[in-house]
Parts: sequence; C-alpha cells; structure tokens
Amino acid sequence: MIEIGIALLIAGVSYALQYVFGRIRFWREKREYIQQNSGYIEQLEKMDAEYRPEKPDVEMALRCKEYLYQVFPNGINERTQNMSKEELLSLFERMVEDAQQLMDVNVGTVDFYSTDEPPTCGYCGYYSHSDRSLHINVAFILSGEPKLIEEQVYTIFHELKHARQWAAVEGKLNGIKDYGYSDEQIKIWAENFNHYIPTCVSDELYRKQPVEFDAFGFETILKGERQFEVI
Amino acid sequence: MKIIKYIQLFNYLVTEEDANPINACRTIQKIRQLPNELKLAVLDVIEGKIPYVEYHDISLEELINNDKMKPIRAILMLDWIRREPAIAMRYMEIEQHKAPQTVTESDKEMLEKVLEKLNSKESSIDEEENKEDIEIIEK
Repeated sequence: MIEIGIALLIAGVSYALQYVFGRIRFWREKREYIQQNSGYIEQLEKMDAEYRPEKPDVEMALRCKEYLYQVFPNGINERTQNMSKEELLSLFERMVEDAQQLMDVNVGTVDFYSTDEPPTCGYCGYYSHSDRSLHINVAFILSGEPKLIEEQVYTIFHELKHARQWAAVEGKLNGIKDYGYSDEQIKIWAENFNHYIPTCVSDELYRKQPVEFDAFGFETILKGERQFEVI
Repeated sequence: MKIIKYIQLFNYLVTEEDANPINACRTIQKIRQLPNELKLAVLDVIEGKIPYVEYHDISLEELINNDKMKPIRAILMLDWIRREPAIAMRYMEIEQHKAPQTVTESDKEMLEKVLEKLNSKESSIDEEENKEDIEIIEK
C-alpha cells in the first residue's frame, strides 16, 4: 500500500522532476566542458578557501563527516542504489534525527514534501525559522537519480546549518546558547539575516552573502572538498 | 551615448521583475558594475527587446527560456558566468536548488534586539580601561 502511495506521489510531480533533472544535466555538461580550462579548479579552490569556519563549526563538521562515513562507508550511491523506496525514506528520516543531534539543533517539524508548484518543486529543501520547520523534497529522494539522492543527504545538513545559525543568533539574545561562536560571527549572521539578499536581486550576491557562504562552505567539508582538523 | 534612465530601470524592476524598492536599488548597484555590452543589454530589455548575448556558450535566451529567469536577473547571472564560470556553473548545476531563507517581520524584530545587545556590548568594551592602555601624562 505504501508503495502505491509513493508511486502516485512521484507520478504527480514527474514532469517537474524531469525538468529539474534536465537542467542539472545541462549545467553539468557545461561545467564538464569548461573544466578543460586549467583555471577551472583553481577558481573553485580559491572561492572555497575563503570559507574560514570558527572552531565550533570545524568540530561539528568533522563529527558530521565521520557520521556520514559510518553510514555510507563506500559512498552514498553504493548504499542507496538497491534500496526500496520505503528503505530510502526510513534512512532519510533516521538521518534527519541523527543530524539534529550531531549539530545540536532541534527543529519542531520535519516535513518530507512533494509538490508540482514552482519554485518549491525545484528546491531540494528549506528551513523555515518562523515555525522552526525543516522541509525536504521527497520527490528528489525517490527520483532514482543517484545525483539527486546524494544531494538530498547534504541538503539535510545544509538546512540544519541554517537552523543552527538562527539558534545561535537567538541564543545570544536570551542567553541560552551560542555554541561558542564569537560575538563577531553572530553579529555577521544577525546583520545578514536582517538584510538577507534574495536571488531576485542577484544570484551571485545571494550565494556569497555570509549565511549562505557559511552553509555552502560547511557542505564542502562534508563532501570532502575541503580538509580541516581541530588544533 | 546611450543612457539607462534610473527611474525607468527602477520602475521596470518593480513592475516586471517583482522586486521591492530596496531590492530594486540593490540590483541597480550591481548593474552599475556591468561591462558596456551587458549595460546595453539592460537598456534593450527595459525597451522591450531581448538581445543576443552569450559567454562561455551560455546565452541570455538560455537563462530566460530554460532556467526561467527574469531578463535582468539573467543578465546579472550571465555577467557572473563571464567572470567566474566555474563558480557560477556549479551554482547553476546544483546550488541554486537550495531554497533561500525567509525572514519574517517578527524575525527582524528579534534580529534588531540581538544587534542592539551586541553593539552595546561592543561600546562598553571600548569604554573600559585596560592595563595595556597607554597613558599620556600632560604637564
């Protein structure tokens, strides 16, 4: 019965899913083409090197990375490729619980959603601070596309990083918890949230603003694109 | 010499690209930094035309028709692709699918209080005496 429900769910959003995956494939091909340029890797490394996390984030990132290694010792695709849809969902539900513990955040609601309404159908997921809810696009998890499934693993951590930024800022106000971040770091996040730049202003400014730079930078550690150690 | 009229551009951003006034001003700041070829493209767009411009084999039409971007947003995206193709294309491939944050009015009230607290803490530190301070004795 669950299988039928899931199949109906995916059928309803399959057009949106095919569109999103088509665009991902298009841009991946373009990236592969320009990778022939010797400056390509250098450009990415230079930008990623500008991400300088404070000690609490380095420690947390290493905890999360170790956890992911335990769950996926031979890579995400290796473990997920033969899983049934129910097994996949169950794995992701468990990962959301574990990630909250590892990152010391507690979201009120976790919503595995599916929709054909743009732009939400094209999002991997999002965190909403107003009701402390985490939303993960289940259609991507059940798409059968290894790249999308893999990205959804990192989406959990990316969105919970935003939850932690909000919690640190709020914690500074009520004196409950600031995770050991410096006042300067919290001030940067608070000012940025207060003047948040949406994509309609400029995708570049959106991507490079402090709270997004931090969440994407955190992902680069989990993906093994950056190496850190605690000194 | 061609000129992009500020008011015309501002009105276009608010009416055609759904920007609020603050975001329209921010976008205009980015437009000021564009090279001439893309400034001319902005002028064409506000006059109702979509010009053919491409960098690294990506055209403006591609971004508008297939990535569903509004024209001015697409021009700024093309400028990013022109300057930092590796970073911009990584963004287009996967990072753009991470949704932006939503900040409500009540969030903003809380943020103002946090900033007030941190700023007052900073100014009190500035006023505190430190044994490392250097005293100048006036004669």
